[in-house]
Amino acid sequence: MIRFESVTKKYGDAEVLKGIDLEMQRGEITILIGPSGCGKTTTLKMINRLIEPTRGKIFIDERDIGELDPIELRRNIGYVIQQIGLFPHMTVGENIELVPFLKKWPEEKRLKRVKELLELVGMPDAEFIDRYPSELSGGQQQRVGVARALAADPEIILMDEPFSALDPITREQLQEELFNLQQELHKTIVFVTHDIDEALKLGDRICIMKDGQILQFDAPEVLLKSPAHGFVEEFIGKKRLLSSPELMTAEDVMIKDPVKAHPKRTLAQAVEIMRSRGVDSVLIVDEDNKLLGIATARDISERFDEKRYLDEIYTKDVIHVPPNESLSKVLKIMAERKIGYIPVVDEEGILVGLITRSSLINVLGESYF
Amino acid sequence: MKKHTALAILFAFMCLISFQGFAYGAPKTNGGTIVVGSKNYTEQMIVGNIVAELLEAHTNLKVERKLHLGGTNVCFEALKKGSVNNGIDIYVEYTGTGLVNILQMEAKTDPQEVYETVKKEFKDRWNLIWLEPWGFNNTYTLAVKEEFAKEYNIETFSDLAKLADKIVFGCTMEFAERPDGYPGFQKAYGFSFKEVKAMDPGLMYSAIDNDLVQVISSFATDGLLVAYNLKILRDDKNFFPPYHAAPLVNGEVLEKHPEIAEILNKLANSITDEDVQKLNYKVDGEGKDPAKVAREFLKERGLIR
Amino acid sequence: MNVLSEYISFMLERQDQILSLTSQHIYLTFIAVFLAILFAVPLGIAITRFEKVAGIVVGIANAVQALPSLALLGFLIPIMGIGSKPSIVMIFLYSLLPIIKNTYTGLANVDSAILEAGKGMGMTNWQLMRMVQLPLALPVIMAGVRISAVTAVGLTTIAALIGAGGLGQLIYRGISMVNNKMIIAGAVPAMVLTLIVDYLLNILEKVVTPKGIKRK
Repeated sequence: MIRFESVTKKYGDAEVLKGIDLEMQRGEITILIGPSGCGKTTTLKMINRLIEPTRGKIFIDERDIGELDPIELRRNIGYVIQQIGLFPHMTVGENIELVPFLKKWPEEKRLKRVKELLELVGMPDAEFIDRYPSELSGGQQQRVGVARALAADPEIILMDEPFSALDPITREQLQEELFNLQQELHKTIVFVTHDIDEALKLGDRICIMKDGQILQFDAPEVLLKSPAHGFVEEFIGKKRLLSSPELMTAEDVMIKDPVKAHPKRTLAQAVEIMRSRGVDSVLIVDEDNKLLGIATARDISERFDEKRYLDEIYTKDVIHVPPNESLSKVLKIMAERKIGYIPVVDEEGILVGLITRSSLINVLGESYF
Repeated sequence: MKKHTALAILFAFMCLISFQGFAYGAPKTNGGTIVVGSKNYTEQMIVGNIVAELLEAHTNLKVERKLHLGGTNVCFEALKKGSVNNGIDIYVEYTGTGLVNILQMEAKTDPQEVYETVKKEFKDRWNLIWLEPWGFNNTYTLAVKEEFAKEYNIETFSDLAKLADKIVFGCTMEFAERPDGYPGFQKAYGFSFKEVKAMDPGLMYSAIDNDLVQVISSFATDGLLVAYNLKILRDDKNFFPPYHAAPLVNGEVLEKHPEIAEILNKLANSITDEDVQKLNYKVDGEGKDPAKVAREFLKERGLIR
Repeated sequence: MNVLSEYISFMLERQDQILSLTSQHIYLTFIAVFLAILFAVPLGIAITRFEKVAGIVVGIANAVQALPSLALLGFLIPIMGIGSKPSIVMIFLYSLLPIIKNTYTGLANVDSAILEAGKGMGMTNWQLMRMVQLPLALPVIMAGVRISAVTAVGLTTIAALIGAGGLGQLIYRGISMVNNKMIIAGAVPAMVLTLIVDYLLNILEKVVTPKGIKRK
């Protein structure tokens, strides 16, 4: 619906956008993301002609916007910015109804619309209409900012890091609300951010930019699975790439220095080792670190009086997995065999790590924050 | 109070007050008005009022007074414009001032010569007409306290030379700048005073009285000379030209109303230095109003009823 | 107390004269400042639009400000004669700078985020100026007007030197005649007028401050 054709932007000798081609679909949230200076904001501002391209054309519904009246164009595109930019000398109502006012809607129609919008953005209280921006919190102000952008019911909404200046809790709330709003309204939203989490949470498609060029433009799942570029990978972050269980391996979730002991250790020593490391089992390995078996605290306590050395009581034949085993398989095995631990062992039988229930929870939990 | 009400009230208030003033800033003359000006010291206020009173009494003209204007320059420039161009039509000027200050010519000592020169030049250059002089010479002079003169044996300007480097001199701002004032004096007499304090003429008397200055520039006809026990020194090198007072009129106005000359020339040669000194004293020493003093004088002389 | 009552009775004796001179004074000041506003505010708006000219315009206004008022009057007489016209021109010229400067500063200090939001929403430059910048800049502009007006009341006393009337007339004649009562009779009303103008314009300043930003 919005199409960039070989768009270049130069300031003097510096090329901020280098001939980009881009197409944003109707009814989708398209994210523009990248490090500072990548050209994402410039791209956004070309859609409502706050910035004009040096070369190239931009089409909305196949009409070259360079030929349209920029004022009319802007009145039909919503615009939300980071610093919000509400007019402090106007009431909330007057702020929201501004574009309808410019379009000469009758007063009744405007008032009705303001009430609708306040409800839409979660501020249904009519008393807000006569309040001033300085009386509102940051989150409330930006909600008004969004309402203002929606006032004339534009097809396209441009958002330039709209939630970046808010505290994390409010930011999350507004992200949620935007998502919900979109389910209802199905606007075409172009959203600039530098926060990959936000992008993944909200975007139908994400456009990663660097140095004025587009590195990859895909749906979030595709980006996560097949990052096209080393930079993209880094940008998204390895952890995040792997935060879908199908993609994780045993190596990613194991404890890398599990508690181990030589078979010739006494039971008492084993107990001491376990106690000092705060664990309830110990892996038995030989001098070459080859896995021989496992002994749990329970096993030890049951046979404490009778036996003396670990090699007399440990369980051999432990189920183990190679480092590159997929996490889903590991989980399956743990579920089927009803076991709480799986040691990770390489081709030569050397112990490289241990997967326990708690280590699993830790790692998986981390990836969702 | 609602914003707009307050603004409206304020605006209305201002308009109301200025309307009164607007009526004052009235339209210009249309043939029947004459504007009389004067400089900003007592003698000028008196003679200005004398001119105004005479014209009011003996012509059909409407007389408007713009007295106490800020100095020779203001009066002269205003006179050139005439009242039709927002200026004045007549004021009393002094021949010496006309010669040295306005024409910027060398001072002369013969009063008749000075008068003839200014009369011709002012007519030729600017169409400004000098009427007959009234007879008194309000020359610039220097004055000191009587005791001071006695103590140091000062009779003439040159006598001051020996004390000059200890003397603070008080004078008007005009005197400090005019070629027939302090600059010319320094050249003619070859000495300067330690310090010069330029001030309003009204303040000079208290200045010398309080010994803030020891010598002041003065006019020979000043009313307060006697009151403050001051002695006028002799201009032994005849530096100051004669300053004979006469009305100076805008040529075009005089053409339209020649009766002005007739009436004012009645005063030709009829007022002495002493006469003027007495008149000045009435204002400066006795606190009388210059307009009243002028009227009384004219009544005494039988020139008005 | 005796001295005080002498001064007061002097003023009471001449109250008609004092009142008429005061209204002349107000007239001269009001017209001059009013014209200055009409001229300086649009000029201030214009230079926010054309930054290159801003330096020149402010420079000229500064130069005018630096001229001694008497010298300026001296220049004006051959051109305009004496009386109220040249006086108004002089006061007008001196009132320009604070208003131009404050208009420019007030407009330039409007938060650029607000301007960007407005522009992005489809406001024309003129709409932005009229509906956003001017209302927000108005308190600062009024402060400039207040400064000019209060200064103008004082400057207007000089108008008496060229026969324009006003309270300066009493002051200058009082100086000439070494009459302190007369000087006070002119100076005190002038001072009172200054205070009144300052007070009224202060109120006006508050009145034009848009509600939404008064809190700050």
